[in-house]
Amino acid sequence: MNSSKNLGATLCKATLLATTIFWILVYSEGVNTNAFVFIFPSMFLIFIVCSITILVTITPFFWLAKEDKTDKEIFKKYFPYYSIIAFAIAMYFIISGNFDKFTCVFFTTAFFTLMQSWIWICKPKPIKDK
Amino acid sequence: MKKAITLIGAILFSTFFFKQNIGLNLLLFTLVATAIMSITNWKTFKNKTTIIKTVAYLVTGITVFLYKSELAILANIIAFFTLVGSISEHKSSIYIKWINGIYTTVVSFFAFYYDSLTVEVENAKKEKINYGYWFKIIGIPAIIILIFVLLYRNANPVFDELIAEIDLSFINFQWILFTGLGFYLFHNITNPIQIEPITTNDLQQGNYLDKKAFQPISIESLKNEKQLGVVLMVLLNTLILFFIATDIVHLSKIHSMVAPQLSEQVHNGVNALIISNILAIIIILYFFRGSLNFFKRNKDLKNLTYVWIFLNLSVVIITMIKNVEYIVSFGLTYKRIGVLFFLTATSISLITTFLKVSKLKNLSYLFRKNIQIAFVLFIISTTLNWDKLITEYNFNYAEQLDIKYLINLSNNNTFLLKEYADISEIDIRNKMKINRKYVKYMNDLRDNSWQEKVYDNFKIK
Repeated sequence: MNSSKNLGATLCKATLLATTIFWILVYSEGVNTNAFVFIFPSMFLIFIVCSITILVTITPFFWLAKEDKTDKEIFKKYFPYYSIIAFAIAMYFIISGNFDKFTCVFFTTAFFTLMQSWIWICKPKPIKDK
Repeated sequence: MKKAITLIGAILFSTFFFKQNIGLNLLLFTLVATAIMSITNWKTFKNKTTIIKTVAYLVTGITVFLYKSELAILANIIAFFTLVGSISEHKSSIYIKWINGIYTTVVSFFAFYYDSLTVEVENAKKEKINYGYWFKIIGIPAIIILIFVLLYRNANPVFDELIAEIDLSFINFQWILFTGLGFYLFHNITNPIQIEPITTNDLQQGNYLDKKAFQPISIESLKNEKQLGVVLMVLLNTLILFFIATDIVHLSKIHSMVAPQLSEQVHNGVNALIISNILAIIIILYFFRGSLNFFKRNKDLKNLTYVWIFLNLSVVIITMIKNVEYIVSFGLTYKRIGVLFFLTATSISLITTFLKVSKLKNLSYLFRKNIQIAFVLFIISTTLNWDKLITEYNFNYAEQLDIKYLINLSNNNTFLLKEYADISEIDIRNKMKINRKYVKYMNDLRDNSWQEKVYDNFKIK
């Protein structure tokens, strides 16, 4: 299991991805140049949210898994159920929030960031050509 | 080819749903999704199971257009997941189809992406995207078409006017993002995946009990267990017979009951029935969980079990009579229809339990069949315009009419209510409420874009 080695880089990449998706969705109706100043400070908050979510909901699968399990095996075993539950939670909040814009943007960002984070964490290391 | 189809699907998805409410668009999406899935998975579409699931999905799409209701939309979504799951693995149980259907729809892209990464690592080389090919396929035809359009516009004023009328103002950044979402969705459903190992386990699990799978038990223990079962079944049968006899006596007095009394009776009866049926099935499953199924001298226990199932069915029928009597007196409501559906489902689960015991079927069979039947019942129930049916029935047959309840139903009964208010003498406040509902619905129908149109749009002038 080499997932712990990917964790730091994954948190940074997840923050960048979440910031990008979030602000693209926010600005999709029209760009407000005055609000650009919020993008960089928002990254700090997004980093905290991403870190907590990834550390609390994804990494326990790797810590609790047996030593002999590879990242690929963990991905194949847990990712399907994780994705279904994450989708159900996101849909629940979006529908119960009556498709409110912020709720839609927040949960869409969270869902895609978490799915991609699984791939970053479990990504196999490339083998160099001999 | 597949990518081009996905792209067309994505553009249609945006055209149907971007900033629109549900209506004709869901039916069109149902048709487009079915067409695209059948083109990309033609082999799977040849088998009977998938064809049945496709028909169910199409029926729910038509139902949404005919009489839009939350129930019909929910049925359409469930039928969609079932169809996608059926394409993933058509031989699996219905609940595995649902899980595979949701998994495919939600994250097939990520699962394939991960697989491609592992394959790349194993092969230690990356396949590069052929940009030249894509430029040839999309770029060159687009440029040539554009040149010809410009030429024709100059040559023909009618053609020029027609082109000028095409309004592409709806295409903006948000529309493009929405199309991206459509692309993601169509990419996922055209690349079905399965969750392992549950799909394989489900396929390996048959419907029959396997004698070899049970640990051998001594004849003496089996005899003791059978004896306990016989004693319990005799006592339960006696008790339920006594209950039925008193219930029949009670049934004869039903006509003299007032509304709250009858309502309480029906609801208490249904609640007791839920618990007693669940317990009945659990007790049967307990005794027929293992070796007792293959015990040669189990006939008397089996017969007593069949009698108990039959008597439980009789209780269901008595409760059904009470409910029908209640409906005749006080009209149809969703709750009363729900009770009828529950009773039907209960009867079916008792029959499948009977089949499980008599034909030596396993627990998986019971789950599979019951859930499958519940799904079929649900889909059939959504094909009916309940609001119109309730209103029509209550106007014509109910001994006491609750007009407020009918006004609070969805817009599907608006025309019927308006007709009734125009020809009957009803309370002026209720008449005003009906008129308000009618005017609001007519305005809503007139405001509908072509994507949001429903069948009622074609009824109004």
